[in-house]
Amino acid sequence: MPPLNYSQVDKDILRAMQAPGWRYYAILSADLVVLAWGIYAWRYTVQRGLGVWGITHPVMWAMDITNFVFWVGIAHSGTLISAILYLFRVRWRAGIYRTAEAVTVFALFTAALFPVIHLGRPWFFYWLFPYPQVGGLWINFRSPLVWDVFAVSTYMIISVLFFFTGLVPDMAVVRNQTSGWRHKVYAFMAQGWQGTDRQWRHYKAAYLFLAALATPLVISVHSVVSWDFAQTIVPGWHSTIFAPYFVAGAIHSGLAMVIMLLIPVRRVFRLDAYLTQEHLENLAKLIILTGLIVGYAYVVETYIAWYSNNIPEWQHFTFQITGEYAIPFWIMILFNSLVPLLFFLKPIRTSTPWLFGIAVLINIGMWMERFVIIVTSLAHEYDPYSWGLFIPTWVDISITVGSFAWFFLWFLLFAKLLPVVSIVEVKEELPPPMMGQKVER
Amino acid sequence: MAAPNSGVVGSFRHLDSLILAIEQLKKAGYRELQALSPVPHHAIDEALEKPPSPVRVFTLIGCLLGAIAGFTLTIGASLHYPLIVGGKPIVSIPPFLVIVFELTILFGGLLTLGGMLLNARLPRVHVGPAYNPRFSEDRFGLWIGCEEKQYDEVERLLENAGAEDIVRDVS
Amino acid sequence: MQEDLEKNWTVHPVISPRLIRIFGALTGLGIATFLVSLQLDPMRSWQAYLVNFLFWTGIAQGAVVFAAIYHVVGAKWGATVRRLGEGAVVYLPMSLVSFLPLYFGLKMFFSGVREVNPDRGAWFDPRFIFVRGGLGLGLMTVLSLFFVYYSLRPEIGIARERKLKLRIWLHRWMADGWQGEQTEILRCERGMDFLAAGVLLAYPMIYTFMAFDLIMALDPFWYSSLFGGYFFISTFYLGLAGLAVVAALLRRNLGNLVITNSQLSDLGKLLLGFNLTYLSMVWGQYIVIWYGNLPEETHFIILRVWEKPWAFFSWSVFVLSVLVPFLFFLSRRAKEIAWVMLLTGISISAGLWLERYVLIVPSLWSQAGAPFGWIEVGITLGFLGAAGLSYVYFLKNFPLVPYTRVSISAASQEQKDAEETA
Repeated sequence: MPPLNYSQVDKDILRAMQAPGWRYYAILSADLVVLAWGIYAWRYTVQRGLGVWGITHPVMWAMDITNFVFWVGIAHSGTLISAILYLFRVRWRAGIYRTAEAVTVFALFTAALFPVIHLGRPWFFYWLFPYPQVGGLWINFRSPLVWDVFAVSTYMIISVLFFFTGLVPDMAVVRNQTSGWRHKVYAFMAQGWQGTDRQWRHYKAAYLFLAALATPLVISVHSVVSWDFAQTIVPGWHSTIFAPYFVAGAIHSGLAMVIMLLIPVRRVFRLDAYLTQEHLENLAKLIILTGLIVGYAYVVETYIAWYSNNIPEWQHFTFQITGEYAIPFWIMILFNSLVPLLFFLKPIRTSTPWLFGIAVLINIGMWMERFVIIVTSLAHEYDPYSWGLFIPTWVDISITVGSFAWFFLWFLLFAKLLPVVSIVEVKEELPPPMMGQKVER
Repeated sequence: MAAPNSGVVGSFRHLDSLILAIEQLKKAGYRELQALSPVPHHAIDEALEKPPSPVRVFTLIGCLLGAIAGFTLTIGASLHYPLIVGGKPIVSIPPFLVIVFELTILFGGLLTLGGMLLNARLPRVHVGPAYNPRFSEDRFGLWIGCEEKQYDEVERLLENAGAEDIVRDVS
Repeated sequence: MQEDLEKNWTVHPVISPRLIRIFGALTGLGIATFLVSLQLDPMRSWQAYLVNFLFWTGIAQGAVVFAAIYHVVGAKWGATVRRLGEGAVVYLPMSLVSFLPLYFGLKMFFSGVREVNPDRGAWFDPRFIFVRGGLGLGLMTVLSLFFVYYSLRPEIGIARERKLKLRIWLHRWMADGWQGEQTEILRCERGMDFLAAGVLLAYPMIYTFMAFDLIMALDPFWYSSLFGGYFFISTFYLGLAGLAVVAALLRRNLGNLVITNSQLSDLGKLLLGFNLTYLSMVWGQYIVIWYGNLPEETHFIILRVWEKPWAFFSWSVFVLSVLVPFLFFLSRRAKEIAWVMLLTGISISAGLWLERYVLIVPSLWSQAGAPFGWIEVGITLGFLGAAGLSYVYFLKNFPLVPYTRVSISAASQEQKDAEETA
């Protein structure tokens, strides 16, 4: 392995952006096919109405909102890594931050689809935004669903800004080494960047403040999403712990997704020197923390369900552990809080197959958690007369799978068109080339 | 006093050579200095002694504007068409605070970015001639704004500090 | 390295005997106040006792938890601050002792609960609460003590090796069975790893249940699932505030080189972060309860936030613990000034004392007005004296500047070399 210096960094990372082989196109095509099927399923829904989904009284929210919360959650770990770890001056974030931030942006693109998809008349989606309407009607600012609009929109805008701001110096490097129409596109994205001290100074200041703003933002976004549920008085939903519980769960699933994507990126682009074992191990350690927080929330929720003497709460809890949705529930408990404990063992958290496998299980578990929270509470509210079930149809499942294809499409494009590792940040972590001269003062 | 529009650019392979050059040129009385580098480094900023970035002011103003916008939007809209929803007061501050918070962050972020672009004089349509693509890869650059008659002295100082590829008459 | 140890071994703040006498007198005053007030108004005495017990135990435990987190994440910005946090551990055994008489207070608090809430009566039995509380506190105390033991042992052992003066019998006991610098440094580092993890795993659970049992249960019909989380975050925030006060005071005493500008500034940034985290924990409960508008939940909040006289206390908590520190900490340079950190630390601590007061007392006090007078002040001063005595004991007898961090990498490198050549 040649010693890392600045030009080596350029070469290694830009090599990943060369023209792809047939395998890339094969994966891309397969992805597009799946996406097309998902789009077809949604078109089917728009033509025939939401009745083609499995939702019915009383379970009026099911996989649509599960997917929404799931994808918003995935977005969180990227901001954690790029913003929060930046504020704490954690050095190892430099190599992985670009991929993590990309996961955030694309997860938000995916999540933002669902508030539109789940509408009965999606062509009226713009009613969600406040605008002066001829009848004088405004949106209900007291409702958590409207808070969602503001929170997710703000998060998407700020994340995209943060992502593209961080890209500007890298785009200068790519611009310099490309030609033709590609050169024009990268030159545009580089915004004329030259790397003067003045540009760097303002860039660093802006980056710091964007990170400082993004940190409370990211915590507020999933808190707001959790309040979609906690602000109701549905048993199992009306619980004050939801905000930190959801935020921890979001970071948990996001970290797992980042691991799932880093491992193939590292392999395919031969970036082992940049996306090291240490990175993956540190992510695994963070997963231990978030897994413990999620486990804590499970324990406290159970305790309070018992302590509260609230009969509907308690019967909802027993429905979860023994009712029709018991399997997703136990998958959730096992995959989210118990399986990640394996990362306490060093051989497991340093083994790539184990890392990937556990990350997959965590993602499945977290999707199940959202599903369990939403569906079991709606299925089993106060009045036994109105209890019911949700049974997914092929349309539900197709749209869910389609959303993964959509996310993955963006990621595939990103992997080839943009540097997957931040060139500038990696260079910053290297010692600068010194001749060893004494500088007189 | 008119700032010189043209100057000399030297290219350095090593960071400490660049710092040495900056120190020597400052001692010789040259004030119009601009360093170009592939990465930021605190040593460069310390050597150049330029004032800290005013972007933080933009952030603060953005946050304040966002908060004001949030309160105005929510309270104004609720009073414009008063509807009692869920038994909550027309002007219910606790939920409005959530909107205020989000808009504070949004405006703060947008103005921070604006502040950066404004101060860094981006976007630029053309990358200046002082710029050598290697300054984004693995070389450091130093541009000194000076008159034609000073070119020789500047070149000498740069070479003493270890510069390669010195180019004259660039802005 | 020899010089470092010797220099650090002698770095001690000047603590006048008069200060120790003052702390001792305050402790005596507190005990006397408590015993007298117990005859006059037992409910009021026990309330004040409980508030202070939770406050002072919390501030000490929070500081130790900071030290544990510092170790686990491998931070490097302020080993001295970490040592200051470890010092708070001396109060924990005293706190455990102070928990014992609380049994009688619990009997008073929960006396009527069984009739009021028969379904959960057994859970609220004061004996059960006392036992589970005592076990939890005992576990935390043991884990914390052993964590600090492993942190201090290498320095004491090396000092003994180098024939430096060992002040107290505790030093000899701690350095017992010393196996030489190389082995001990690594062994104690591993001990710290293990025990820091233990402290951090036990703390959230134990403090959650402490909050559920000793605060939330006082109102047998109210519950909030975030209450436990809110309490252990608020206790950690309190511990940080205590550290800020101590660090600021010692800076004046010891100078800028021991407690540097950047350490104070970093501590300030942590305080800002946890200020906002604390606020979010309060808000998370408030907004859910506000929106649901269920009387069984809202009565707790309305009593404290909107009804007099408790509203005054609640809003003081907000101003002292959240608003004032936030405004100060927005300035980059304020965090480097010792008196700013001192003031904000005191403000946060005072606010959080009032917070515990306003959480506990309205659930118990059935008379008009708020009980706040010589009883509360006296008992608080008593606890302050005890905490002060314990902390001063630590400052006098243990090195403030840990140096073993520096030698860990050297020692493990030497061991690796030794293994390779063997």
